[in-house]
This record gives sequence, structure tokens and C-alpha cells, in this order.
Amino acid sequence: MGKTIKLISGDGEMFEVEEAVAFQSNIIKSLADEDNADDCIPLPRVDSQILSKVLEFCRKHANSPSVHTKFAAIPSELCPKHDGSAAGASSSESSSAHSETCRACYDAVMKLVQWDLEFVKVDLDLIHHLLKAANYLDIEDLMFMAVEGAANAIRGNNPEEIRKLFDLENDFTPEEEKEILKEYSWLDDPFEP
Amino acid sequence: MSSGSPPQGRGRGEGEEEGASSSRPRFGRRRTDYPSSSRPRSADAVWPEHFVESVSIRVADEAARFEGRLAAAPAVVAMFQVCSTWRAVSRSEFLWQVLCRRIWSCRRRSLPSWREEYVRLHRTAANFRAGRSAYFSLLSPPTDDLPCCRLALSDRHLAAGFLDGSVRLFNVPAGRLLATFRADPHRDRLGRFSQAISGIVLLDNRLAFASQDGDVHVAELSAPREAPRRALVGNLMVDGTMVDFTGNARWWVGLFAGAPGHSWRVWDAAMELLIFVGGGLMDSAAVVGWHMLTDIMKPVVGRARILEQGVVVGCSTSSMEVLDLDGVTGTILNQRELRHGGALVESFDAGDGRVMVVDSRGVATVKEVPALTEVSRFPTLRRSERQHGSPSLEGCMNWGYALVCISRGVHVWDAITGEYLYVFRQRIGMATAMAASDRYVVAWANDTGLHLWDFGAL
Repeated sequence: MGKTIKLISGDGEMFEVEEAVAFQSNIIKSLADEDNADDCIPLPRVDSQILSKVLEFCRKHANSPSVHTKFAAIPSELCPKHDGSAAGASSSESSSAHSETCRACYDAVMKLVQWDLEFVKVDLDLIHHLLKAANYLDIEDLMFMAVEGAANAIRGNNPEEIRKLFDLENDFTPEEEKEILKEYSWLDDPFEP
Repeated sequence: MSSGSPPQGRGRGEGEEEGASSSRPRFGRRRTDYPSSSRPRSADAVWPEHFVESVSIRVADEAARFEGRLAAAPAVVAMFQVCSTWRAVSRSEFLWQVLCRRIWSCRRRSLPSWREEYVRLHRTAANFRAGRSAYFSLLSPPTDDLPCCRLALSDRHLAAGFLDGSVRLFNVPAGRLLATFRADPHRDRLGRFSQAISGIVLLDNRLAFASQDGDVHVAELSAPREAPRRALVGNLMVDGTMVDFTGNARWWVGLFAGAPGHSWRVWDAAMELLIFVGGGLMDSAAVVGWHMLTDIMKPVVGRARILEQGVVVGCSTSSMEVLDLDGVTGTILNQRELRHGGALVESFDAGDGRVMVVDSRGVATVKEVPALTEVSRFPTLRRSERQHGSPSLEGCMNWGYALVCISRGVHVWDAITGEYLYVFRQRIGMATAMAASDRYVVAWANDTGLHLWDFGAL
């Protein structure tokens, strides 16, 4: 193990993880950078069950480029096939051109994306807790995936089905419902020439 | 869709009536083992508004990706019908601005709000899908038999380039002729058609047009009566014939046939400076390239189209290549040999990060750029049409639709799925130039003149 960081959850459990894993969180990174004498970082707003899931995510992402927030643009020096000496401009445009034409980069990105999609195939309660934790700890990729998980849950569902998933009430009056139908009447398109 | 549903599922009875407007908060039992001590029950505290906004953008993205862009709005509107808190998200101009950019690649607003802009984009796309347009005949064929060889569209203008080196500018959608630009009439000419227009770059405020002899002239659209300025001087004997010219605000790109190893010339459009010469795409067409100066009946040997990602794609009868502009200018990013008897270069066009071309068997393919991976494939000709030697057709493409003009009409396919959609009601004959934007389609046919279809009118 390389250099490690100790994290204390809200319910008092201690997690010791490698720096590369913990530093996925910008908050943990900035707290560790401060020269505190403590080598333990307390996280009172995240309990152990959620923190354990968060760290599982961070462990997977520790040595990968941020595939979600940078839309799969892998700099050629991180390409698993090339040895990092590939010439080329370091602009993000040519990086995405590289990853779009490099099979190895593409496969690596796809594998990580698949893992992430499986990770958020969970109930919305967990997604809600992961979202709060990702927001609190400032972990961009996890926030992205929480949004992705919720979007996957919503996809293909009508308003009533979405209400049931999210445990929400229909608080529209009948007049408001009529107003909404009128507001979006431009969507009623029969596609007939 | 495969997320786990909450254990309570749909079995709960109380407070579940369809369309109920109860104001009684629901205190259901905890759904999982996860702690909920800090979980209040009002919707916006549980699911904050910025989260709902991010999720709605993602939902729209995914609907567009899997079902087409017209599916994005219905998917996101379903969310706005969930409850009043989620409906409030629909009032965010930022949300509609992001959706305009993400779903329609639209960065400029022509209407007072981004929400109205989205509605306009969606309705124009729906009109394209259904074939609903307003048609205008802009220019009947002139008596002096002057063919149009290039067309270009922008948000507010249409430019038509002719064999005599003139460019006519119209406004759209009205179709009124605004100006006619001509290059310097006293310059040297080699061959009857050396001044024929080989390409037009039409921007909001200026127009650059190139002729086969390699000259590039620039006209300022704010001063249409002023003579265009010659920005670049061609060198026909050294460079060969400029067979096509494309560009945007940042680059001008010329495709040349006649001088081996010098197929591409790239200029910085703002500085009007040459920044790259090279490439062999047109080497096999050198002889035909020279003949284009005296004989316009030669088939199209090469075409080039610039794409938003900062690359240009060139197509010859036998191959296609992707040239980098934004990264290391002049690098060949990708190359593909075109089999099956080669390509009908006059069918080649680009739109929204993709290119299309029809091969000599009449099969069209749409490919993603720069990887040149195939997106769709569809036949454009009937069997009887394929058997009559090399078919004659003209093609163009926009963000979602591929159009091919053959003698029996202008036919439209969904460029992503390859589904055949319809044929234009107007029979214009055989087009020799066509262009399509997100809103307009324009075509020139020698027998019937200049035609405009406006899909944003209705």
C-alpha cells in the first residue's frame, strides 16, 4: 500500500485507504493538504454504510481518467496501448480524436462506464444517499453517476410511475393539469406528411 | 431500464389515487436499511432542484441517443408533470439553453427565450421528419443557360455560385435576391471555366468564394454593393485545379487536382495565411482535374467538407480521408478505401459530425467522423436504375436527414437509422447542386432553376 489516509465515518467507524482513492474527493484532498497534526479525517455527515459504498466507487476510479465529466477524452499518455511517448498536441480536441480512433482507449472507457452503470443500478434511496455524500465530499464522477442512476430509473416511465419511484405526491390541481397539457401541446405531432 | 424499484413497489394503497391533490404529507415506512434519520419528507429537500435539473438533462440526452432527438422533449416533459416542484425546474432558462446545445447543437438564440428556441428546433425537426415544408421557386433557369455549381446556406442567407464565376446572395426565408458578386473581371484566365465557382464559405457577416483557378474572393455582407476583395491569388500552373473549397470562420480548405502530393491547402481564414500544403487524395485525378478547366461535363472527382470538430473530410472516387485542422493541422487522422466500384462523389456531404456518400451501386452509407464507423446504410436506387451505367445523382445531409436527388425526385432518409421517409412533392428534375441546413433545403436543376424548401415555416 502506498501512503494512506484514515477516515472516520459519522457513526465512528475507521476506514484506512490509499491516498489516490481518498483524493477522488476534493474535500478530503484539501483537508489532507492542510498541515493538521491529525492523520485522521472525520466525516460526521457520512455514515459507515454509505462511506463504504463511496470508497468502493473511488477505488475503481483511482487510476482512471475522469471519463464522465470529460466525456471520454483520454489523453494519449494514459492510453493503455501506447507507452505515453505518443506525439501529439495536448489539446483536449486531439485527445478526444485519439481516444475515438484508439481501440484500447475506447475499450477501457467502455469497461469503466459499464461498471459504473451497474454500480448505480440500485434503489433511489441509496442513490439519494450517494448523491448527498458525493455533494458533501465533492466527488464529481460520483455525482455524475448518481444523476445517471436516477435518469436510468426515470427512463421510459410516465409521470405517475416516476412519482411512485421517487415517493412523490401529485400536487397539481385539475386546472394546473389542463394548463400543463396546453403548455406542451407542441409535442402532439402525428408525423403525418 | 433496469434500476431496482423500491421495496414498497406499487402495493401501497393509501394516498395513491390517480391525480389526487391531497396536501397530506406521506410518511411511509422506511424503504431500506439505509439511515433516513435526516430525511425530511418535502420533495425539494429530498431531491433538490438542481439535482432534478441535472437529471432532466441526462434523461433528455439518453432519450435523444437511443430514440432520436425528437424523443428528448417528451421524456423531459414527463418529469415536469410529476409534481409542482419538478414543474418549477421547467422555468429554468439555463436548462433550456443546455438542452438546445446538447440536443440540437444550437448555441445561438433567435427567439426571446431559450425555451421558445427549443420549441422551434423541435418543431422544425418534426417538420423534417414528416415532410412538411413551405416551397419557393427562387430563380427560374436564365435564358443564357448558366448552370449553378455550388450552393451554401446560413441562418439568414443562401448563396449560389455559377459557372461564370458569379455568386448570387439571397435572404432566407423570403428568397429575395440581395446582391450579385463577381470576381475581378480583368484577371488572367486559363481555360473557359477557370473562374467557375468551386466553393463558398458563407458566414453571418461575410462570404468567401473560390474559383477553380484557386483565387479566393471575400465579400462583406453588410456592404453588398462593394466589389469583393481578392484575398488569395491562385496559381493554376503550380497547384492544379481547385476542385472544391470549404471552410468556416477559422479555416479555409481547398482540394486540388493536378499537382501530385498537393491535394490539400489549408489557410487560416482570419489571417488569410497558408498554413498547410500536402496530401495525395487527388493524385489519381490529376488529368481529369486539368480537363475541368475546359469541360464542365466531367464527373465530380473530389469533394471536401469541413466539420464542427475541427477536421475536414475529403472524398475521391476511390477513397475518403479525414484531415486534422484543430490539433496538428494536416495530420491524416483516418483513411478509408471505398470499395464496390467506388463513390459517386457528387453524393458526398457532411452534417453534425457525420458524412454520407453513395457508391456506384446506389448504396448510401453514413459514417461517424473521425472514426469513419458506419452509422447506417440504405439503397437509394431501384434495381432498374442501377443497371443503366453510372447513375446520376446529387446528395446532401444535415443533422439528421440524408437527401438524394435522382431523376424521379428528391428522396429523404433518416440518416441515423437509414429508414426511408418520403419524396418531395415537387419534381425538379436532375439537381446538379444541393445543400441542406437544419431548417432549409436548396437545390439547383438546369431545367427548372433554384428551389428552396423551408421546414421551419410551419
